Amino acid sequence: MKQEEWTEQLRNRLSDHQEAVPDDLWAGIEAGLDAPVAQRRPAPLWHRWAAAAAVVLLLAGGTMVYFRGEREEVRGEKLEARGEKQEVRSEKQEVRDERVAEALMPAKSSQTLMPKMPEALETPDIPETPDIPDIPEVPDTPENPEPPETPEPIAQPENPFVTIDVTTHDSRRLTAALYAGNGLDNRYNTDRVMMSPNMAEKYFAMNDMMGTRSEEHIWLANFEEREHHERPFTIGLQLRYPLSDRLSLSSGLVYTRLKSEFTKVMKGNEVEQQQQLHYVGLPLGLQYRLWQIGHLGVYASAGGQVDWNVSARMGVNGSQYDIDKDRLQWSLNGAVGLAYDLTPHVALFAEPGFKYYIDNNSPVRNYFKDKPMNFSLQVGMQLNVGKR
Amino acid sequence: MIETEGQLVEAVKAGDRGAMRRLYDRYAGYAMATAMRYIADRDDVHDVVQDSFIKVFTTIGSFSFHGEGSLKAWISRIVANQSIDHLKSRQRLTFVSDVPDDSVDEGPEVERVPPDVLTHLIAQLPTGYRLVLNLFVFEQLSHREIAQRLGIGENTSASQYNRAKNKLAGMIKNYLKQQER
Repeated sequence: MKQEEWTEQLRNRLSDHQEAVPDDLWAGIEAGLDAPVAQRRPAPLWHRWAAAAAVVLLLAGGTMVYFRGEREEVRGEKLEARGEKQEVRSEKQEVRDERVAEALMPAKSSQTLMPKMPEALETPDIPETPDIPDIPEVPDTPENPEPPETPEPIAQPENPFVTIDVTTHDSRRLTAALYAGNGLDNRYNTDRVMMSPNMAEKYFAMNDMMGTRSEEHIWLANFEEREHHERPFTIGLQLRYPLSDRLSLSSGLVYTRLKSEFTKVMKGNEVEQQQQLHYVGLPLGLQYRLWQIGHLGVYASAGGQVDWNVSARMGVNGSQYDIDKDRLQWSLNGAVGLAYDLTPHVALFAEPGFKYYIDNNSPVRNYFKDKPMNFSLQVGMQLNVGKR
Repeated sequence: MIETEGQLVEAVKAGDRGAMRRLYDRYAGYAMATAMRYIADRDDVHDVVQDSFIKVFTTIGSFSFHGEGSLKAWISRIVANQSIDHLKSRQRLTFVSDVPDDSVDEGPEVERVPPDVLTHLIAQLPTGYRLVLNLFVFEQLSHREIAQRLGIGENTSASQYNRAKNKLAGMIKNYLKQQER
């Protein structure tokens, strides 16, 4: 009885105990409340829109010094800081875990690896809504920073792409563009692994005997599958042919690389697979010039693209092998573009927009399937090839 | 006039940001203390309490007020749940199945230990011990409920609790011994 008394004393002693509250806690809570309901963890999309807007503003101001670099740096730093914190903390956690494990070792006679069930049970009278805890999404990693280096300007006005010398007027020339772009989001996914029906039956039978039957699905503790899709990396060449004063047709050639990591966790052992898919794409689009104010032009763009998967490789523990290629991947896109003329022949452009990847029903798991609707930003350089 | 819990809940349910702040001011210290019994790392405690309050404010619509004290209990339950989920997501929980010890040791003199020291000592317990002790002593769940919440057997819960209790008693006695020197 003595024992029960002291834990009761312990409860009473701590029931009104308060600890100091960090100053920045409330700000974090407010920020969380103001964020979109869906997910607080990944940086909300408007951050990225703001970043895109910043690019546009810098372009508009004519200060093209290192417009792309700066934006990336800022974002990169932030991500890195976050990433580091995460890393440091998980390391600490590991150390602590080992200690915990050690502390437990001497005492244990058998270790139970019980199946993990979806959150059941908060006590019924306190209606905290039960939710299935997802493994928290890991924030974006800074690797594969986008967009990549702007390709060396092939800036001779007289360029091999001069195929059509349309007109002497500036706005009616064939233009070529080198650009780079990609989606703005890494994708993480975690799937839990269910207990096999066979095992589940035994578990249920055991629980029935004890009168504690609970859930239908049993997620296995220590078994899970994670996938991580890096942002696509895209680089391309674009040619434009003016149809009228405002309307032009564009096509070109686009290379896209998709990288994904799949991690299978089994009883603490991790098997990691790296998938690399290389696509060559043919875009076709229409651009409609909305305004031209001095050196700055604004246009709307819409079109489609078809991508061929030319190579598909999987790597496990350093060894590489070919895997089945993805089927043809069709996509639709729409964007608003800004072009700033640096010289009559060279313009910088930025095209924030959306891409929609139509499901091609292939079994290949990649970024396109994980996130068919995509915010994309293409930045690059247009070469207006033609004589003045 | 001091705002009652009931009035506060109503105001928060109506979406009053000022009321949210008042609720936070009133309970953040308790929430911190609760999380610190589960989690030793300060940064993690910070995150868990933050997430807990966001959960409080976003799910308060489903909270039914049962009189003074029920709000505080509800908040501390949310903090406990968030803490458990946090621990689960970070590490594999290890529980040891064993024959319960029945120790007849005298209980330690809890009154002589400052609350923040007690909190700290509890946080130092091995994870499995710590979870079960917290849920049993502070959330006052039965072993059956603990077993369901953590996905372990009832016997495991009971034996973990006994071990946790003995270990904590030892830690408290040690602390007091050091103080006497």
